[in-house]
Amino acid sequence: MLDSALLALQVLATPEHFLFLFLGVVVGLFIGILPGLGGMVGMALLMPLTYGMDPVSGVAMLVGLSSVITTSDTFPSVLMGIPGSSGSQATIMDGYPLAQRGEGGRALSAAFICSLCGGIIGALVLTFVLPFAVPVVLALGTPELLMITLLGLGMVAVLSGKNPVLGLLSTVMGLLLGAFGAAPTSAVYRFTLDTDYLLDGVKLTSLAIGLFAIPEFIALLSRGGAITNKKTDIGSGWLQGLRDVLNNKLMVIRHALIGAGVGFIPGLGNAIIDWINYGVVIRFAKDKSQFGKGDIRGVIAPESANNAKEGGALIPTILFGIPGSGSMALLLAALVIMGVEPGPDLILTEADLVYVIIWSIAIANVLGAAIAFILSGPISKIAVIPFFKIMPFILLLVSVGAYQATHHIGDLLSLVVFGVIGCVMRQTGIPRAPMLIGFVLSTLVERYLWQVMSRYEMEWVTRPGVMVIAALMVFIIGFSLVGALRSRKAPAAVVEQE
Amino acid sequence: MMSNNSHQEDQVRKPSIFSWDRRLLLGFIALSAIVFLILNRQANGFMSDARLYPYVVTLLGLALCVLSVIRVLMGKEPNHDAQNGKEHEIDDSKVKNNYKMTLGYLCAFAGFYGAIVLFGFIIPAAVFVFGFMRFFGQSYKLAAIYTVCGLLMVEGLSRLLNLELPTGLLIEMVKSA
Repeated sequence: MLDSALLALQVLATPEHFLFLFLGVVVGLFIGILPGLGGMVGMALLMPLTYGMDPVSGVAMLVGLSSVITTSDTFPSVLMGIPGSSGSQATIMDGYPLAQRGEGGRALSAAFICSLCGGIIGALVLTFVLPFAVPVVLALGTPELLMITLLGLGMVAVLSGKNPVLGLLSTVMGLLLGAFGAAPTSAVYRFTLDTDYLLDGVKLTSLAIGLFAIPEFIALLSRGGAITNKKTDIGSGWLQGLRDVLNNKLMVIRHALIGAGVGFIPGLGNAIIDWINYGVVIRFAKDKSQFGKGDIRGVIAPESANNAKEGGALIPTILFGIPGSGSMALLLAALVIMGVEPGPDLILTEADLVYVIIWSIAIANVLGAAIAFILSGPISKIAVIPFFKIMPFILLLVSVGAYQATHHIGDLLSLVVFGVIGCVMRQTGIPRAPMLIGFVLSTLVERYLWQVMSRYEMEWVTRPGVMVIAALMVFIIGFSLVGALRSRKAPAAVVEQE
Repeated sequence: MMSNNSHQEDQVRKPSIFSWDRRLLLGFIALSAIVFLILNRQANGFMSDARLYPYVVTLLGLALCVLSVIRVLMGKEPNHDAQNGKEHEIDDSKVKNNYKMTLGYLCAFAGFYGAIVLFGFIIPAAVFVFGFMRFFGQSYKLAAIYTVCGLLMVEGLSRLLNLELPTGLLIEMVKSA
């Protein structure tokens, strides 16, 4: 284990790989600063660049990006009261009041240090859980793995938004989109619409960019320059922020562990993790009077958790190949594109790559916090740049990125189609992440299904592991569905970002 | 005052079953159901190994479409901006304006990509960036600067990362002729 960890650090420290990690960190910081974009847009932006890339560079870049979005998203949350991403909503509650009374530096300083600590703790959780979890996972058979995959899909569907029926519908759409093209278990081409383009199926980059990036661009353009009138004076208190973190060390560790633990559960996005931790810190605080008015603990708790979440979320992604969020789905797909198959075998056969992921999380958090500290002044001004000035450049990048999938005009045409679908889904409150995750897992689900049916016929249903997981699935999904069906009010949808 | 209040209430009221968002949702679900049905019929023609999965998935999709339609008709689905998580009392005229803007931007993007398909990447990219900046009120000089920067960025990245840019069908036809 130690040998693999040291070898991985050595590999990551080469100039080429470090440059890609740094690129991921810079893009992640930029995406986090701009309110409304979120991790999936960032992933969709960089993922096409991983075609033809070596796995270490690609992994370092993507993990670097996803690790630091929740560091820089604090800027608009604290300075303007607007969440930079879904992972900084709770930070506004106390961060913004602190900035309003001239202590923005204190809030930002505490947030960056907590983000750094949280990210490293998340990486440590991943380090220690994976080796112990591998023997357990290897003991599972294909029927149990199928059920775990379906459980993960179901949880993502019902937990991604407050509309579990629409979430399930979105998941099923994704599963169906994954059936286009060559069947994984036989030499049959399905649903190709008599085109050569669809012989390889729907392309992930077009789907991801169309579903997430295009609708967010349009939404931000439609919203106009409402944020441009906000001031971004940081204020004072940088050293006080450091003292606050030192005075609340145990709180940082506690909430980072909660963040990593909750991040392990598929479907619970950054927003929920943020609010859970905000609720917990209030619940256990002796003096609750200042929460919502600038209590620094209201910044420390969520910021420690949302960076630790990455480590937790990577556990099911790496162990089972089950992404718990849209960002993880894109990371998983990128790994497959680079020729890396997630699963328990990955830890046994490619331990070096697993430790590259872990080191990337840790180093990215350090880099991200350092850059945020040093360049806080200029960075804070980026948040007020009107989106229309940046959008064309981002659109050019995603357009070039989408074309790299197969260098076929179909990549661009499908981008338009999925862009329309994404806009409709966004407008009507149908969660999009389950569709992406369903698409990514579709081949795996079909392969597992074919294997269990051909090897076990229907006897697999009576296996004890299968029945336990099925009971859990019925409980969790059934509970959510029944709750939604009985609800008298139409629920408000959650912010759908990762 | 009473008539003013009722006028305001008419404008910002609980949405009816025929509000824009609900119509869009119903239309999307109906279209999805049709697609599920068509693909389910097609799946019947595949070999057994390739048939099971799409058959099961399309049936499940159809069932969920029916359930979703029932929920929408019962008024259980939200019809507001998912991004903001607003309460579902909403001004329908604002929704309509939002739709128009969204459609306008989508048409612009579709036009951009259509132009790339025909003419390659560079010329449509230049026209798009320039036109976009002018649309948002930037001067000709500033729009030109943005355009040059955008093209330099794309060219630089494509050389650095060995990315291929689309060449365009018309350009290829001219070259082959």
